[in-house]
Amino acid sequence: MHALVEPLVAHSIWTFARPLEPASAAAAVGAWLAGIAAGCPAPGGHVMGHIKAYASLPAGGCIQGNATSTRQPPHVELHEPAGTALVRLDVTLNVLVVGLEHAAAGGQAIRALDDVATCHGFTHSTSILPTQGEH
Amino acid sequence: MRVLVLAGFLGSGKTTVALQIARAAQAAGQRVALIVNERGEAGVDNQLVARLGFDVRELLGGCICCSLVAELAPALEALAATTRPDLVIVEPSGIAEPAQIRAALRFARVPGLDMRSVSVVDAQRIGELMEVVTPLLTKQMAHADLAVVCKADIASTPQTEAACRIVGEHAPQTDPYVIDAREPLDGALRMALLGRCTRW
Repeated sequence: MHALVEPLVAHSIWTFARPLEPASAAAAVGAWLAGIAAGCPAPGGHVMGHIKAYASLPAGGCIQGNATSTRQPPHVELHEPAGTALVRLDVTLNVLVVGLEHAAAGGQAIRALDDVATCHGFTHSTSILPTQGEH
Repeated sequence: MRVLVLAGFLGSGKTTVALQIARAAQAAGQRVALIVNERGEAGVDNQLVARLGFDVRELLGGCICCSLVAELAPALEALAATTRPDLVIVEPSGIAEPAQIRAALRFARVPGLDMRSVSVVDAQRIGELMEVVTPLLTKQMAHADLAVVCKADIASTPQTEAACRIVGEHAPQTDPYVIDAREPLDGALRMALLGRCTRW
């Protein structure tokens, strides 16, 4: 495996057609991470790097998740003291996987998010920051 | 000021360990700060740590073992001059080489600097990771003053035992501590990380 390590950073704004419970939004974040991880074939089903997401919630909480394996669901935590339904979610995504180039990671992230958006009934506007090169 | 430099591959559990240490130190009455480094220009870990109310300095968009190495010592000096923490936890990117970080911090103008390297090892993945990124993982373990094998809550017993054997092979200077993210750090590990000047 090529030892390239090139980070991908994406900002994504999700707009929900109807107010969504934070738990459902957290499930969607987990589905996105799982979709990206599924495209990172690696020894033993493990992701040779990390795939992380973070989203602040309006009441001061957050959703954070990470995926390091395709054999287990992503680890997603929801910290939402008020439990306010969401109409929008701003998500930061970091992907840093050995051998996964920036363009490939970006394409994978968008494809996985399109699938999640269709499944969960939201639209998204996602920008991928330019590559910063390899480590 | 004690400085703990965490070293571990991407996704190995460094942020979880950093937060466990920070909570233990706060509970012991210590002032805690964190320096969080991420390769991307917009980080994830820094947002999480800041949300929890810890004093955080962010070094983003590069790696503090190479492209951002010149910013590390000034960040530590700024903390020492302002919030004067008892403990600073440095969480580098998962592809950083701790020896270079330690070398950079030796030049920091911080009185009483007491620096330790903590190797964070992922019990679930270390076997496979060693096949792919051997030189980096070897370096991350070789310079450790302490090693923690984490994810014991989700790894199998054979995986955890194998991880301990790998640590023993590459960091024979330290016996690994096995930790579970759901549990507070045990007394011996807290002592090793935080020193004796704590109140428990």
